[in-house]
Amino acid sequence: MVHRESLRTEDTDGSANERITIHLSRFDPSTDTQPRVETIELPLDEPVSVMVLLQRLHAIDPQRACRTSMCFKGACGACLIRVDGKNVLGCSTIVDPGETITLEPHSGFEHIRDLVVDFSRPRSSVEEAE
Amino acid sequence: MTSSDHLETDVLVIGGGAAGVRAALAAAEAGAAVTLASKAPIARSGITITAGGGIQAPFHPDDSEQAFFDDVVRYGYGLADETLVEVMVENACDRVLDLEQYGVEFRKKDDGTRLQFQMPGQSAPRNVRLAAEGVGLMGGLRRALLRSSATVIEDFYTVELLQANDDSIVGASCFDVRRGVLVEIKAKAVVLATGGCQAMWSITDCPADATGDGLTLAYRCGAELVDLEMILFYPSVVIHPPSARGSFVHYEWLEEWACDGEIRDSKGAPVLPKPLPVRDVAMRTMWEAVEEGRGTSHGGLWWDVSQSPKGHDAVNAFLQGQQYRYMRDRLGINPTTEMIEVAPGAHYQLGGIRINERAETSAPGLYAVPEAAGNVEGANRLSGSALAATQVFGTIAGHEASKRARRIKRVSEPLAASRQRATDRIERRLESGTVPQELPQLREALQKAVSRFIGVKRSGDGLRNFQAELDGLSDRCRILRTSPAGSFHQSLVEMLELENMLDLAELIRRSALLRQESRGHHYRADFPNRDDDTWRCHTLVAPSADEPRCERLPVRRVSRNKVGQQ
Repeated sequence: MVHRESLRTEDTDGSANERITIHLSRFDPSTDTQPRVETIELPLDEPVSVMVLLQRLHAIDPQRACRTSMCFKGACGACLIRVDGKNVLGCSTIVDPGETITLEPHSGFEHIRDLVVDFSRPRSSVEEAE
Repeated sequence: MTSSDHLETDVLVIGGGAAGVRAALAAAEAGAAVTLASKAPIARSGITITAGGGIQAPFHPDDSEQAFFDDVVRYGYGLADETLVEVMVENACDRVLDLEQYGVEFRKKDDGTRLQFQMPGQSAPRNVRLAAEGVGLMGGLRRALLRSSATVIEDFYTVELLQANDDSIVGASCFDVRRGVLVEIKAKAVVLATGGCQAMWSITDCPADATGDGLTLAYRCGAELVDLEMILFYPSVVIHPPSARGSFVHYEWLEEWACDGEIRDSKGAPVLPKPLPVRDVAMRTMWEAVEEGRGTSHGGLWWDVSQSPKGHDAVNAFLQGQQYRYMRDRLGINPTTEMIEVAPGAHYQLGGIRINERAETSAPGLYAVPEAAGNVEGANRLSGSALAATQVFGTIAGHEASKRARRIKRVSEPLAASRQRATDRIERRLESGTVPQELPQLREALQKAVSRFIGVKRSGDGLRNFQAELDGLSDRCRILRTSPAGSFHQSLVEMLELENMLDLAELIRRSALLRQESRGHHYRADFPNRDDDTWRCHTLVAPSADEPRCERLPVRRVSRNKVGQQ
């Protein structure tokens, strides 16, 4: 399933026809037995952090669950996430227009819903976060 | 939805930032059974993690409690509650020593003594510096909390406080976000440490969870709120590019002793005088420059240290704080060599829930801690007061709440109506098959209206027009629905937050309309001057039968204020 969603970006100079494709992991434990993938295309005309992408995805559909807190310093770990198979800080990972990326929950903690994990329940024997 | 689970505790602390954790530690150390409920994970949410890392504490040999008191009162422009300032100046050093005991690290000089910076408005070097800033503070506090006897529950959003028939507060109804169920927590005393409401403004350096929930929770139970019109706008919040938006760069570091830089307009001309003015003067000067058409394409100005006479290496060595390293190493923006686009943004809620020197609110059994509590600094605050206030009043609130818990044998039964309020607030939002599509648009519309009408510059006409806008937004919010509760029901929480913010915006509007003068961070274009004859007082809003009771409240003074300074 591919959604094409129009979104205002902060620079509306008319030249914004670059896009980014996101394979977003969705999981609702009350209806799903395992995660499914939602594919979304968003307009993107400048490099942004994964955290900015998450804010935009959540603003388009508030039912896409993701933590929205951040320290704005790359230090707190509220935005821990798995991008293209690697555990990273979402605020510190930059994506470019034209890219295709996969967003999944961080694998170091028990999964709750969509991209949300339970930081108080670390999983044993997983690779360390960046 | 009725409560499916029931918990009971002596002291319930709501909020997991520096204030809430300190309150929970104090109550647990005093022997109380403590439960701390935080709407998101501790040390990975809230406002403390964004803090730059300064705490005012008069350790320096050239400094004194009296000098600290004088500075805070002077730059609160007559609205600081002096009974609270006195408590803060007398306890700040001890609370820093506590933090060291909890394992929080501070920056030291080569000789092992604490590094202290003199910030604008301070008459001596006074800010001790946290080694790992707000994140380091929360890390140390969280570890101490987990070692303590306190029970910690995260992803718990407080929907309503519970009230007994003698009006006392006897707990809270919380939404367990992970499980999607309502949980009733009965308590002998409740401490609100829910922080400020800065997320209501379009430009802010606080995270999205700064929705000021505690103020509306307290107000709905009859508590008085003070000085709500006083929102501190920090001069230099980053507005562009999107990845750096919400970070801040220190305008204080533009001082000659630091990086010796400038705030520049779009043509490169300096905007601020040197030495730098305190925050309210700085941010208003910058706002006016943008209004005069001297701003950037995004409506900001340039923070610039790239042309500093100190040279690249000295400036670069100075800019090693977390947000500077984050921008340089992670976002590819070098603040040493590139100009940073900034504008004044909501940084701190000066007003809030009215407390006394025992952190008691006007509702029995309910305590509050800055920044949810509001009458400490007044119309402006110096750098380093916010974290000092969390530790001083957090400790007091924890002690006082545990004392109350010892006095009370049994928790009174909550009134049925008080339970019903939480159930109603949730049930009216849940409707099968509905998606909350308009929620983000409404939140953004509220931010735009709040920034326009109760931003840096206000006017009587604007504030009156704001009421109609708020009514329209409230009507649209009222019909919002989301799907039935399930696991991690984030959109339901965001709807309840929006409801709270709309209610709070109306109370801020009334407070700003009441204060017919300009003072500190409250600027009224139709009353541009400070009027000490009429307005050297707090504004107060409290619930009453028909509409909010809005009135003036005298500022409490102490004999320590020898010169009668304003």
